[in-house]
Amino acid sequence: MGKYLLRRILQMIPVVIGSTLLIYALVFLLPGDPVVAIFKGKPAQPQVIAQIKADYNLDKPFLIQYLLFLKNALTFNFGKTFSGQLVSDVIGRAFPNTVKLALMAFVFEAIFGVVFGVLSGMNKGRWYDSVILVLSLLLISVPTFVTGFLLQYVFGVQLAILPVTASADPGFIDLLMPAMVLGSVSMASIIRLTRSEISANKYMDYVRTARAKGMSNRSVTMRHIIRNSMITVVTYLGADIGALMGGAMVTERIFNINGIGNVTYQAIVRGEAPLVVSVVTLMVLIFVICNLLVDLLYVVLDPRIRYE
Amino acid sequence: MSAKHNDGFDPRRNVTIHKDAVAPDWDADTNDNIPTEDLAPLLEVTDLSVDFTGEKGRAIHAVDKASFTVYPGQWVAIVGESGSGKSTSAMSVLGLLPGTGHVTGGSIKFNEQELVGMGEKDYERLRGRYIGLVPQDPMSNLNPVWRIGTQIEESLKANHMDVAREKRNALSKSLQEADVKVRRTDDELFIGSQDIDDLVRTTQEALASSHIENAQGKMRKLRHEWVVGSETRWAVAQSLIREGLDEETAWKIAKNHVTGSSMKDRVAGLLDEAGLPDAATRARQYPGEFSGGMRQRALIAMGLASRPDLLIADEPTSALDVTVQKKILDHLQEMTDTLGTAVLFITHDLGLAAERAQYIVVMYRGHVVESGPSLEVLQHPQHPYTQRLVKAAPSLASQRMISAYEEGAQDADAGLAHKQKAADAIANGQAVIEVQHLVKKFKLPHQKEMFRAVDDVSFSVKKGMTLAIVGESGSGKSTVANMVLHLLKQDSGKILYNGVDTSTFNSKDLLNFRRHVQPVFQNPYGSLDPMYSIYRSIEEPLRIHKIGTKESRLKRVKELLDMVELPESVMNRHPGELSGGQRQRIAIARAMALDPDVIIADEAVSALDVLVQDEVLRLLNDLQAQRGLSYLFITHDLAVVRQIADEVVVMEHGKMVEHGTTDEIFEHPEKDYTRELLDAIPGGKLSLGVDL
Repeated sequence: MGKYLLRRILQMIPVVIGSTLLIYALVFLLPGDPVVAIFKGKPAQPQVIAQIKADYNLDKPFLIQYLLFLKNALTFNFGKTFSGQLVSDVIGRAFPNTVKLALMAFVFEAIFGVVFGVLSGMNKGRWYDSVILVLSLLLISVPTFVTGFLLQYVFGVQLAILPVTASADPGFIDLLMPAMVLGSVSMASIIRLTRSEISANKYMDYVRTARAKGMSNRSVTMRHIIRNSMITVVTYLGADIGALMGGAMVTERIFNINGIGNVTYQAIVRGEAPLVVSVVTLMVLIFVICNLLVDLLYVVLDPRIRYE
Repeated sequence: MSAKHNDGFDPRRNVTIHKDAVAPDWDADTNDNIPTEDLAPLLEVTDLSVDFTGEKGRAIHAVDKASFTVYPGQWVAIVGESGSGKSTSAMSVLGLLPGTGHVTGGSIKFNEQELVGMGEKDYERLRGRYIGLVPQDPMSNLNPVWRIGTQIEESLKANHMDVAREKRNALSKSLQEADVKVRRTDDELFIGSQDIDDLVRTTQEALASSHIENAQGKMRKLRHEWVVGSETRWAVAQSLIREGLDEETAWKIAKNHVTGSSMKDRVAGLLDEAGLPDAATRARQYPGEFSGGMRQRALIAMGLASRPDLLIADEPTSALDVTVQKKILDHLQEMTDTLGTAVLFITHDLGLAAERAQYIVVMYRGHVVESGPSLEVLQHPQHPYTQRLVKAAPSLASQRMISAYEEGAQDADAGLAHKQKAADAIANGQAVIEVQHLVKKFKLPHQKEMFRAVDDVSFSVKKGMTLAIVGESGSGKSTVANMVLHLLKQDSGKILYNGVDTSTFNSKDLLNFRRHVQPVFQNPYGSLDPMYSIYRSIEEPLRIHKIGTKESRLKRVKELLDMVELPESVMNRHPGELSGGQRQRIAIARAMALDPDVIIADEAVSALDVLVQDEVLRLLNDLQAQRGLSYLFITHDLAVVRQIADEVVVMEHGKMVEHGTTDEIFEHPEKDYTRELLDAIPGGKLSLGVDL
């Protein structure tokens, strides 16, 4: 197990290097000169431009730029944005909001996804199973910006019970609607996953054996049907945490939340390679760590799995 | 037992003979459980009909007016092939019919209480505590995510057999009722793990001070008997009295030192009773760490945990090796005898049923066609189906099948003629497949040493003869088959095909070899592609080897279907639409497509019902007589070996234990292991149907 863990952690190194290199290259290849773009088309003195380029290492070849970034990043120096702020400060301000949003979305999708999925799976063919199934399909097929704008309009504008956009330092109420929008697609997937797992596990031989032991329907459902169905569902949920953080870009734009997604969007527009790459590195790390945790969780949930 | 009165459900309320009225000392007195004429039946099923709702609401009658009775303490077997309704009947007793199954008529009386139409809550109280279940497949009947011990604990808890709680209940009861017997509460106290050391020490001292002869030997015996969580205070006292202590001292020791066990101890005790060694450690393991036999023991412990009056054993050992089967059934029989549990034993094997049960019920297509005392049914079968079953039962067959196609088969002593021929062939015949000093090693996780799955095995398959390799699972017999088939490479040793070393084959030789040596595998459900039509499955080998034109291939497929006695119309169907026996015929047809010399049958008939198995064996035998095929038959079932093989190789732990002609092996087995295998054939010692 210890060996396995070490191997997994070492595996993270090439993943992080590879992904940052890729992102760096993509930003480097973006059309247009970012420094020229700073001046918004106004003429600028060549010396000034050259100075800025030197400050941000933009005059050096691509690989050198990347290696310099990597070297600084190792010492937790992520550089400055074009507006002179420390990248670490920008991320530090935005990151907690994204985490809050992602966690709220996570709780939302986990609770409602599992509850509706179990309800649906245990009562396959009943009318509410059909309703849940149709609604979940609808949520999966409609993109988040549609559900986002729809909820914003209904609950924010028409009914005015929830804020339309988030404040600079968003609280629970601010993030309630965004979290629901962000979690809705995954929730629908979890409903479907739980439903199919439950309805498959319902007919397992060991479930019949449990009933034959004289166990009540309630404990059979809890201990043998739901417990076994949760193996795949929890795995899915774990992997989804990373996806929620990365996928918050659209939601954050719609509700104007000062989160990582918004920051990334701005940085891409401005072609600020250090900022984009820093954010992406962070995301990649979160993703990889989440996946590792899920794999470890898997061992706890399913004793059949043993890592060598 | 106080909990059972508290839950408001008592199926025994109308019964005159009240087992609970006597002290429920399960371990000692079985006298009141021996079935007698004047005893009320425990389970009485009358005219039971069960329907399943098929496609478009069509009713499928799975059980039609079936009746049978089980008396307390009796073993009753329901025998029949798959689909005969035997399991369905048993499951309707438990109220656990699968899917759309429902009882449409008749009555099921358990201790004179009607079960048909009973509510789910009442069933929950009935299950486990009054009627237990040992299910069929040990692999799928334990939840892989819970520890074995936890799953047994569940059955104790579900039926309020929680030892601690029981003690409390009994105490509160004794405060209310003055005439409560002390022995009842004593009986619910098991030796706890904290008790055992003191108990042993005190007993040792007591034995020493009362100057009893052979105190050490007696102590050893007691130490062996006293299993934590399994022996009751009463039983401890009794055993002490038996060993010569006076009653007063014995009870004093028992009362002072058997103070009740924890749930964990009880679970370990139950597992120990079911014959699982080192039970306390085992209870903490997961099903994945158990072998099939161990799992079945855990399931038995589970089924008997709450001491039911009736145990439904649904083919409890058909997934296991014969030797394991024998051990487990012996143990189950011993346990149910001491506990006085009645058993409804579901099996497809008539020999096994006759050997174990006092009473047999034969079911065929949902009907009970015959029932009566075991030997009566076996020796004087009345119904044609039972007669066929008796004839086909491999465990009851006593000699090799002789094909009608064989020369001189119509003679009275065809068997003798075949034996003569076989002896000749074995002595002087030409070897088609020859295996010399075959070795195969596998790397096991966490172990430095290589595991020798096959260790120095040599034999030869003679032309037109059948050689069977027998052994339990894990003996390496299938590994040998895979190496002979060139699907696995041996580590050392040689395999010769018609005198040529197969390891020297280039790809063209190999293709040619594959054409002439064809496999038939165990699972007819897995070895046919479900997406392929039957035609495509049989035609595939012809296509691969580029034989004939489209038209000639069609003709060949028709011929092959005719050969395996299936109508041409199955060509357009898919495996899912055929029965197990039909699929195995298709698999044989496919193997025969290329006119092979050798067929390697790896447990080819093990998954089939007795009658179907008999048909398939006859088919294989006829094909051999007609075409001079050689068979390498891999099986765990010695009964099958006797029917089809001329020569036998017995394997154990990868080694060849014994090698000889079938007659030699069956009549004069030299090794203990072979004798053990022979003993394990169910019903092996029962005499055949006399009326046939």
